[in-house]
Amino acid sequence: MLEVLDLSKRYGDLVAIDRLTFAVEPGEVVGFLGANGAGKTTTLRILSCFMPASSGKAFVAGFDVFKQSMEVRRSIGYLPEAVPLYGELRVDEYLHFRAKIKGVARAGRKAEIARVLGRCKLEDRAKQLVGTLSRGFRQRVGLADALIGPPKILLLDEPTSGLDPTQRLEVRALLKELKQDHTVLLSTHILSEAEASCSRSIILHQGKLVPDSEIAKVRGQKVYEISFAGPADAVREALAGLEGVAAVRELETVREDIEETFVKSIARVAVVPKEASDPRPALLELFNAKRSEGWALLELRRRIPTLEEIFSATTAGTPGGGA
Amino acid sequence: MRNFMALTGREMRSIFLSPLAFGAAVMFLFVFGLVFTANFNRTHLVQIETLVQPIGYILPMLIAPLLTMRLLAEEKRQGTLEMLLTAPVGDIEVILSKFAGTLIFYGALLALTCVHFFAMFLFYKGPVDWGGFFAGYLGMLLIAGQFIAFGLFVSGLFENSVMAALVSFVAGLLVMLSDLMTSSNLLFKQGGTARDVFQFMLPYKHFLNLVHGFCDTGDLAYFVLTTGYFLFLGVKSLESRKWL
Repeated sequence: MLEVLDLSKRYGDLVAIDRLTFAVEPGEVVGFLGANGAGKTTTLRILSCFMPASSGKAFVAGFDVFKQSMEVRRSIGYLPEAVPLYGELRVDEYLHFRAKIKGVARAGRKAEIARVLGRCKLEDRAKQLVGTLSRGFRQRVGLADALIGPPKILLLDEPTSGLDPTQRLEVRALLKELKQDHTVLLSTHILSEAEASCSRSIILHQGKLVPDSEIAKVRGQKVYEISFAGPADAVREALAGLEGVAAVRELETVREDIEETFVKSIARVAVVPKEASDPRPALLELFNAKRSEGWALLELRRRIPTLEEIFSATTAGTPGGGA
Repeated sequence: MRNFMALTGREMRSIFLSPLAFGAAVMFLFVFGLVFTANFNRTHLVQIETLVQPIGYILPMLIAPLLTMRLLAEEKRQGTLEMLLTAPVGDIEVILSKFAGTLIFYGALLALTCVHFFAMFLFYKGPVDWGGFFAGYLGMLLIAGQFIAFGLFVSGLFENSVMAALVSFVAGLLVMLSDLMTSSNLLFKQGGTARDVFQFMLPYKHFLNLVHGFCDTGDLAYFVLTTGYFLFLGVKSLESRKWL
């Protein structure tokens, strides 16, 4: 449904994206992850035919992005990050205008607008001027616009940025519904969002794609999450020095500096082991040895890395953030 | 064509609802009425060339930058251009619709100024030169079209609409001054080929022919070609996003 081959974009000496190759199959919702400036927006702008690439090929719904621009644009629904809309139009007028230029036949236009208004829960706002809408509703109008057609592929650039938590949940729920009818490439730097909405993720780092093999490798590594009581800094340092431990990442420090009870703090950390090693025996041994100094292991849990940890490992070093 | 109609409709709506365009319209109608009345009181001639001079030329030079400054610059700044150009519409359709929407607005303003003439014709006992009247209005519309096409092109070069207005106004002013200096033989010797060629390239002589009632193909072709050229440059300014 979407195929990108060796795609690069350069601005003079600056390489915005460097030989990206990936594919999205029909019906997939794929997260397109990367820090700000990683090249996500540039890639989406190329795929939506707004700007050309410096080299490489891209196919959307079977059409060549660089040679069949109109066909590609008819196949996609694109939501740019800033959600630019014409503020002087009412919501239904705006969608009517967009339906017209997207080639929705006159006979079915009203029904199509009613459909997207319903899908994005905008019926009550249909007569409101776009310029007077809150950020959350503007985002919904942008999504409704992207859904007009309906297009085979949705390219969504940070669809929940700037939204409050409730609005974010609503958009996530909507994205889940969209899975049924569309192929979605969802760009975001909010990893929990990708984790909640996407079937898989593509990670972009400084314009380059993190290979799937590297993501799989990190995903295969286990993370040991422990809660402990004791002097947090000293414990973390000791944990990091254990054999078989690649990194220790602080997750939470609950209490600090309670001198009377000898407990310096209660903290939670993620211990990332070196490849194929199990640090649990060493961990237990450490806390047993330091029991007299007030170190106590309260909880030990093994889990798979979160997307955030995978992201941070593949873009910085190790799961857990390389702390 | 369907896209062109939809885009022009939106442009017209945008411009007819714009406070800036209304401000420009008020200024246009006030100054036009003032100069028309002054010219009539001074000459007592029922001749379009006398009554709309020099306002028919100066007003579009002043108004067009105000009407065109936001057309592309604002769309670029707000990002709506990205929404527009990722929909299945062509760059040419976008430029032509913006031009058409603005020209229609200007045409509506010109149409309103006909009131002055109709009021005058009511009390005029002699024969009315309708040919001259229509040619004069065609001249005013064509020169406005040229300024609008130029302003649209300049708007495509900037993200700051004030800069776009300033540049298209200064360029219009330079053209007018060049015209004046050429007519006064300050730039070239009278009768020289260079003077004729330079003057042919400037709009005033062609405008003057039309308001005098000479509907010459050469003058019409001049306006159509120069306007077309600026629209072509407008399309190129839109395409320039792909050149980076």
